[in-house]
Amino acid sequence: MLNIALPKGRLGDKVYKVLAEAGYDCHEAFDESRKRVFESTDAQVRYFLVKPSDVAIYVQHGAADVGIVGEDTLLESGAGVCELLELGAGRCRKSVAGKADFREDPDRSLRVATKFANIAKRYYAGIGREIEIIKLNGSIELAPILGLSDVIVDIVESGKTLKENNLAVLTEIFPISARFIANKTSYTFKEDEVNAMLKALKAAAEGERA
Amino acid sequence: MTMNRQPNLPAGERATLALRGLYEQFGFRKYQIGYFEEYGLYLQYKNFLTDEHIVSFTAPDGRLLALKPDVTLSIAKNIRLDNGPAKAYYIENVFREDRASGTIREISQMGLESIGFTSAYAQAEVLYLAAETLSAIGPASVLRVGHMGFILGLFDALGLSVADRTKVIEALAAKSPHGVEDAARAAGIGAVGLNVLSELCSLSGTADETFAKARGLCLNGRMSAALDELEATVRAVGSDFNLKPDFTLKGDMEYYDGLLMNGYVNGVPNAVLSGGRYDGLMKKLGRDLPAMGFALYLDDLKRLPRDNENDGADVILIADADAAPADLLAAVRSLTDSGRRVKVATAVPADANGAEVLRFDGKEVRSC
Repeated sequence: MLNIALPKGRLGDKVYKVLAEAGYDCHEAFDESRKRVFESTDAQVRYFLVKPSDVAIYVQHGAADVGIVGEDTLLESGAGVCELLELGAGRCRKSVAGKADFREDPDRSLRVATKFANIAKRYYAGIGREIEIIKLNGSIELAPILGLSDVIVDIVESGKTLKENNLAVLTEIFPISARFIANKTSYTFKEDEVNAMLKALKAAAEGERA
Repeated sequence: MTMNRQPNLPAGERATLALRGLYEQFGFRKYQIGYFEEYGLYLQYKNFLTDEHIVSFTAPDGRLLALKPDVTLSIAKNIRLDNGPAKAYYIENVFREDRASGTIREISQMGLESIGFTSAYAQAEVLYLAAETLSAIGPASVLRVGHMGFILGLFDALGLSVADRTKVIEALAAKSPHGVEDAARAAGIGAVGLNVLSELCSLSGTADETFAKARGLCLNGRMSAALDELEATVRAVGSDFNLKPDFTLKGDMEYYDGLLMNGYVNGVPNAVLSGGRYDGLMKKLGRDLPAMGFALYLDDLKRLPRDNENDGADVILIADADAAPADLLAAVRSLTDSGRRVKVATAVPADANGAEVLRFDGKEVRSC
């Protein structure tokens, strides 16, 4: 049996379509229910619906054999997993945003509010900028408005939330999309099952792109 | 006296007992190192370590010491080589930071190092012992084997810079075709190189099939030579083991340049064994000699179920409190000699857990 970790929320809604097209119908998992584990009728596959940032952790620790995760949360977790396919679904941008009229003072360290501390640290280390990280868990857009930080590092999809809060994208760090990942031991011992799912997802993702 | 008394040891402890004898049979001698090492050693060779966080402290004499995070480095630096090649095995604890909990973890490792050898036999021997090591843990095991020379040869052929090599090797290790494509695009790699990299991510099949496919991907003599060496070594070990060629295995590019291996057992989510040929490290240590070894992570094996989940006893032997000790001990030994674990009690305990309950009547053991 293949154990599959899926993300709840916005990304989950997007990958659900691709999964259904690939023959992995998991509508029960996405229905309003408090049930956390769902088995397919033929008992070949078991789905877990977890927080998007936890998918990579479930896969890394082998509780799930495979999973679908946003590239940003995968990078943030630093999980050592096989990253087998870019799904295309859930495309957005990891960006630096701030007040539209923000002017950076290069004479002091930049205060950066984010959920993604590791990505922010790596990005600013790469451009040699000293920063102070303010780790937040939600409503990141509030930070520059209230003066908690100079900028934020966050996911930008349409940019609507930023605009509504008088914020703007200052720099795009990298584009992101959903990834199909596998635990290294599972990919060793369940190679055929994982490859069958990989093949089906690849075909479905290509269909989506077409 | 029968010593068949390890019926329910955890896999790690059982493997330790079995493997010590095996390593000794192949001429490896036990090597013990201290808990502490000069901090500077690890600082100088930090890329060789899998984790850069080292626990350091100041000794009473003012030297900066570290709780050893690694065994190979200490052996490679200190083992005596004046009598020719050295073969050592170890069972040691190392100390690393656990980032998730912010604490220090003590990790048990067992492994061996073969240093200064002069023939191809030595690396076949190490690979064979790595395969035997995995087999000792359980039948469901796979040893992935790769060759750093194959990857470095490919990088030479593609003319990659050091920064680009790092990106490509990370994408390969994640078996990520899109990661490889991104890194290749950024490095200006052409269609032929990209095709080779993409193929390497998805190579599968039997060892013969994988070697044949890899042969078709060689772009220069260094890749072919590495492939020849890997194939010959795998064939020397034979088909008794589940060896799987995998050209996405990675090692630090400065220290590793030959065979690489990662061992997996079903039930543990990460590699439980890793190793390879680290001539580059030896050279940096000023000892320009070939060297190869591997480590088995014993703590990870604790995740495996025991043969018998009943960790109390196989037999509860009920005996009166005033039973003669000599007679009762003889009765217990008659049971333990058959490999069973026996707990003596005056009444059936609440946690019998399905153990067989027998009664000692003062003379002999009877069913209840």
